[in-house]
Amino acid sequence: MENAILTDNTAKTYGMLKKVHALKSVSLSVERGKTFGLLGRNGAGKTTLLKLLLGLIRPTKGKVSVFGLNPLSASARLPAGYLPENHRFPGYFTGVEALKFYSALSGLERAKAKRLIPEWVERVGLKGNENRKLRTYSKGMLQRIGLAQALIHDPQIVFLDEPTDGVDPAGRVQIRGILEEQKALGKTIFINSHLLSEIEKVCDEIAILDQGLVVSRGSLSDLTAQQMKYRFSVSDGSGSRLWEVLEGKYFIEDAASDSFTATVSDREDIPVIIDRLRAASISIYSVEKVKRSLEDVFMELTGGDDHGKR
Amino acid sequence: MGRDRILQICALAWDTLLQARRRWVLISLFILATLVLAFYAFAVSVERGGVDSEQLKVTFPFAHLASEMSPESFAHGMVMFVLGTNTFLGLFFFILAFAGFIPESIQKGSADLLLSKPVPRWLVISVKMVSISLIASLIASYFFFGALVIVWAKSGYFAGEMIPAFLLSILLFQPMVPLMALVGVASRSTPLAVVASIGAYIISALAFGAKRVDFSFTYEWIGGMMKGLYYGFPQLVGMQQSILAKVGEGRSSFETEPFIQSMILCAVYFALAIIIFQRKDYTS
Repeated sequence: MENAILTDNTAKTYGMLKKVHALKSVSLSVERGKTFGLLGRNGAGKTTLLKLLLGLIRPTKGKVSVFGLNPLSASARLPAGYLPENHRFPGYFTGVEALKFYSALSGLERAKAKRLIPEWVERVGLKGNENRKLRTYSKGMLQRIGLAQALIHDPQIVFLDEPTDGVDPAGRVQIRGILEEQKALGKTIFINSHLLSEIEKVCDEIAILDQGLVVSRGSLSDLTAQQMKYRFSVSDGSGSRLWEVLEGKYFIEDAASDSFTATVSDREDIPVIIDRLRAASISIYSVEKVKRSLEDVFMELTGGDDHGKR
Repeated sequence: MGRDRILQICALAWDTLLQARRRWVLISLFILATLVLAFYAFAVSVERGGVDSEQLKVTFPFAHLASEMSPESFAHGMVMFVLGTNTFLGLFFFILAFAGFIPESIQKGSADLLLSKPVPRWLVISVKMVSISLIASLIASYFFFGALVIVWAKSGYFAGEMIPAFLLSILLFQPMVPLMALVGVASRSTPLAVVASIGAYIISALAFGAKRVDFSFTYEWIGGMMKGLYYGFPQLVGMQQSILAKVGEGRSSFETEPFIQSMILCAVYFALAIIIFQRKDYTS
């Protein structure tokens, strides 16, 4: 499948005297039509990567392309929509004026814009407030208008930096719904977030960025799978006999009267354990591969406890 | 030029107009210009019939400025006063009012929204600069042509030969716009854009118009204004006298040399502003 996004050993250093290596070397590819989530702590380099993909900044080293084009050229940004983090809309615009302005800059014809603006105002839940000046909008309302300006021109790829920042729970569900729609339409979506639950819900693929490097990448199930841990659900009261039945050959944890978790060194150990349990007349109701939460993975890979110390 | 590009140009120009509206720039400058025109219309008393029946008896609100003069001289003097005011005071108001337009558009948070759109950076800054020039020129035109009409009504003389001088004064303003843009894109700071632009204005006067500094500390300042002091920006010493001399000889009042100098300066500032804007990383 065609790559929507490609970075090759991309690095970005800020400053001339006191250098800050925001991105050290990032090689990523995102297929067209995928929803990609980029996770990382504050200062990990997420926004820098996003800005490189939009041509807002230049890479110090390496290459960046979006649909095969260098995003530094204006035409490469034609199929892109972007909702920045900490955006600041001109306060002198009303909601409708802002959508008119940004859709015109995105090349949306006036007649289309006229038709689409009321639709998007409604979709992002701003109906009734669209003629108010943006300086009177709340953070959540600005986020909604930001999402509308990013999507109104029907972009093929959407970059969202903390899309639900400042939005109430109902608004988050609404935004997630819009993203699901975009996904169903085959749009490529690139989300930067530190809200793991948001990423878990919408992304096909996830990368974790730490100190300017991609430390892990894959689908949610890839990232959260514990390779060799299995949770057994067994007949009540058998927990106390495990040591004896399994002859102490496996590492057992979280043992309860009706369940336990076994760590094995090989997948072939699973049928062996099942055979032993059956031989001891212990019923097996289920065997599940143990998964970690995305948060566990994130904390493990980014040294969560050291947050702020590095 | 594609349709997309035209749409983008219109959107950027409209944005600049909204910026002006928000800052009350248009209204306050129009009010200021109207007040000066009203002063012309009502405070300056003009009567026909001096020593010579063709002369005008002109009384300014300041007794020492009362004099008799021909309608032509009166018209020239008054219109030159407007041109002088445009250059001398109008430029300060212009800088204060417009210097923030470009820095404001590329503030942290705003730059990301604007520059992520498929619009080339050179176009963003060019349209902003041209729009600012047009808005300022519109206000100056109102002021100048208003004065021309009022003076015509009062003296019966229409000083149409001064129109080229007005056009020249508009063109001479132009280097200020890319200068403000240059400081704006480099620093993203409105105060710095104001200070640097006014600084450049003063330095240019010091460098090219030492007489003007002397004028500024004496009572002749007003007289200088009346004569249409033209030593503003960048090197206009003598231009006013030259214009008056040409007008006196019945020739056009347009001066090529200051125009060319001004346009060269304009092109240099403009090119620098574009280069910086194209290459600079605007990070939040």
